[in-house]
Amino acid sequence: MSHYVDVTTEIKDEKALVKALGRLGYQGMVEVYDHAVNLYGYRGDMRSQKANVVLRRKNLSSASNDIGFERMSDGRYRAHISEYDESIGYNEQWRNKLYTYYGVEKAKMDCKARGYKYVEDVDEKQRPRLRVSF
Amino acid sequence: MPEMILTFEWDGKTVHKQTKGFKGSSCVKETKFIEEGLGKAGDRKLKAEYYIREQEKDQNRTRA
Repeated sequence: MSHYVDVTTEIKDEKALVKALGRLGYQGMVEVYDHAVNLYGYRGDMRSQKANVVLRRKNLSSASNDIGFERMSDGRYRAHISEYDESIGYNEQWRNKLYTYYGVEKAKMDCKARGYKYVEDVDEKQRPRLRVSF
Repeated sequence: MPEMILTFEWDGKTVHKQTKGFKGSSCVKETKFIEEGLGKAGDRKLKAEYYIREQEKDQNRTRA
């Protein structure tokens, strides 16, 4: 039997999120906290927003604020990105790319945990693709 | 060899899952972990070979 199905990704796995940030160039720069911590602004001012997965402003641009992902009560992560950082490229397109890589990394982790081998490549439309053997 | 192909749209949320080469109805059972791990699955579209196999099963049941 064979089938097709479309799945809608939900950002719920901290490790996969960190790996996805790594693929965007932030490997080894991401801080992870069990309890959410405050984010800081470009002048070193503490912000009211909290996050469990944090990309500090020193790793972004000189005028950037921290970027964070806060774990909500339903287990999903919500992004905290300032208007300034949105304007310099950490926008919806950046988040979509991040979340796409999240899906790839989450799928790879789940396949690996079950001992399935996979190959990652891109299809003819340059979309990431995983071929998993059973 | 049974295979699952996952294609990821750049919209950050849509993943197309395709399976092939599985025997019987095992493909749904064996690959469901991906749907559960990623998020929420939409409607499942079964390929023609599924219906052929199910038809064969019905015929065998009738003979038995």
